[in-house]
Amino acid sequence: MNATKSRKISKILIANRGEIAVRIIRTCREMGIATVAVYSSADRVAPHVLMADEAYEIGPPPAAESYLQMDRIIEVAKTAGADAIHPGYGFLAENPTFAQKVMEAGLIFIGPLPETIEAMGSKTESRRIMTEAGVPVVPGTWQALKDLAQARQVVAEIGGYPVMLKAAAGGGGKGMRIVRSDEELERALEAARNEARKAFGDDTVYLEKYVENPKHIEIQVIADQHGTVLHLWERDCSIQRRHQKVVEESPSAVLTPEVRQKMGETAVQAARACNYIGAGTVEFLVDDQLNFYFLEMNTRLQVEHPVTEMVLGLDLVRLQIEIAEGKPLPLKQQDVQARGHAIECRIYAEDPFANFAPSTGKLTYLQPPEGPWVRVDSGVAAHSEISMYYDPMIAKLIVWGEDRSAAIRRMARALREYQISGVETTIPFCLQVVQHPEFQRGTYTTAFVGQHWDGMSREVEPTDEHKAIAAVLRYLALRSEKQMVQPAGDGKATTADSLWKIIGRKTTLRSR
Amino acid sequence: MKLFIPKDETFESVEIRETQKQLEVQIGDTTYRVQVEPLGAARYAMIVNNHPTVVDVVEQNKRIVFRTGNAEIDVEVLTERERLAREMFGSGADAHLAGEVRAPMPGLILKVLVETGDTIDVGQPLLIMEAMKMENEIRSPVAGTVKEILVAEQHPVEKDALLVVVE
Repeated sequence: MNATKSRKISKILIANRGEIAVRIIRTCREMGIATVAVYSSADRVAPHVLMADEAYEIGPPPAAESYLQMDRIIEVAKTAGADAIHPGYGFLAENPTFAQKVMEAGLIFIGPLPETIEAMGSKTESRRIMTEAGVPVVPGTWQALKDLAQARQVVAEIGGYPVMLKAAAGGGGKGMRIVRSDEELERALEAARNEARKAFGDDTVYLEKYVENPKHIEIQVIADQHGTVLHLWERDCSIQRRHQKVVEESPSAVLTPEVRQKMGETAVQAARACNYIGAGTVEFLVDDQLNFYFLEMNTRLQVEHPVTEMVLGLDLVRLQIEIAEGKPLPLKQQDVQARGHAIECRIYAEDPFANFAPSTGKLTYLQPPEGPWVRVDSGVAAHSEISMYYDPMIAKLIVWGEDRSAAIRRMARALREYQISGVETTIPFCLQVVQHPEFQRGTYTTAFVGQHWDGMSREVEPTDEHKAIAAVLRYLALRSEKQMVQPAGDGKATTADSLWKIIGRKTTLRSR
Repeated sequence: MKLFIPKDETFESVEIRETQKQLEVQIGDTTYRVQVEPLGAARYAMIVNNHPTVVDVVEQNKRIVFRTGNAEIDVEVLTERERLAREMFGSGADAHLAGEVRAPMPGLILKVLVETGDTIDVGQPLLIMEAMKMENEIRSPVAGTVKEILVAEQHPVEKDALLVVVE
């Protein structure tokens, strides 16, 4: 970001795909800003492409050859006459080289300064900065692990197992491993390194004390170029599976007003310590005594930002763009008041009945929920092809309610309305989560899924009504088979016959 | 038309009649009046005794599998002839070998950890597979000897593809 200049933005290139690209385009539309989409050849008919004012193909399906091609994306931005690039989340969002290149090309990067991204992107460097700024951190190493022997030594220094291995460049659970004993360490180290190298092109791994069963609560911060830093309260993101967030809510059901206030102030302190500009998130681990520890800072718009938008009535993308234009924040800390309660469920194309195996294929049917206080941020449309190339998260469902229990009931209602056919999704899983007594109490921790989800069966014992439906389906199938061998117009057709023939003809015989 | 649903060792009989407006399905003493409208893409709207239901058909053959809400129903519905055949020959349950290790999801084989002839324990990792950028260990469901390895490293595989045979 060109820290001192103020400059009107009238065209933005969105260096992303899926739901977040769509979400950014929507705000741009509302602000009268033209949009430029980039896409891989797998995404030619993706919603983010069809919604944009202009769209440019940048390469084949693998992200490394398309959405991660920095120079090509910047070239497109210049060709299209864009003023700024919004990176969304993932892909190039936290890549300091990209932010630097964008600036050098004379464009505005909608995000923090490259040096901030770099410092916070290195989990070891970020811990050092935060410790110096007086922000509490989890005990661990600040250095990249060289080998197994060094890893063993660090484990001993921080008081033994369990420990957590993390990719220094990581995020989204990739390159992360909990290690509970010395026997597991070697293989876990290798696996974490491999994953990190594949996902981020950097196999640097570090290690820290694993806080058993914590809550994961994060504070949204926002900072303009004029020295104003505000916190936008918390999001409780403790419902996670394999370190991936599944359900998020705001406010947290367990924080006291004092702790909430203290966390907000600490997050502002953290943002100041790294000269933060734009929208960012300070993640904390919170133990059962409500002690909180800095985990990491995400220097981008978060997946779960709509939860904050819903309780505060703010558009974070709009604020990001205005900050990038050099405008001062339009509000003060005391104006940031939450109203009611918001919950988000992430909808993944994964089969919760088969150990969350990725589910790929064509969406044959899609009917998102509608109605009062329901928001769907989706990157797919009916007939979209869900491929293995990209993140399996296909949509986010966000609801607002006047209080937490109203929001939970609304979420359950909306999840029941949500219909997707063609791929398996985590909708049934989300429904079980929000209906679980522990979720309803709000005391759940990051251990929730492991403790309460031992797999479940989609199959239910058929009732007589189900049997009647099954018999009707067989009957229709038999009828359409019969029509194949019996020519129509055998003289015996009645009105009833012809009605059912129509249905029979429409019946597709399906078998796995 | 008479149809049969296997129940324990016997069969429950179901009678279907067509009228001009609907199908009538008789199961035991209860009659279900069913209105059906196809919605395309193997979906039907059915109103069963005034209870509206949307049905997503997964399989529509001798075996009927459909989803309604978040439930999946899996029942067999046989014709008279199929019932007689079943009574004579039994169900001839599909032989499924416990030692057939199949891909739980589509992905890429990263590493093969065993060799043909290796003796392995239950739960021992056989392969490392990458799917959606995560590495997953594929473990053996049984103890035994590796009889056959059908994949190589850097091999993409489809869901349910046979990977390793353990005997």
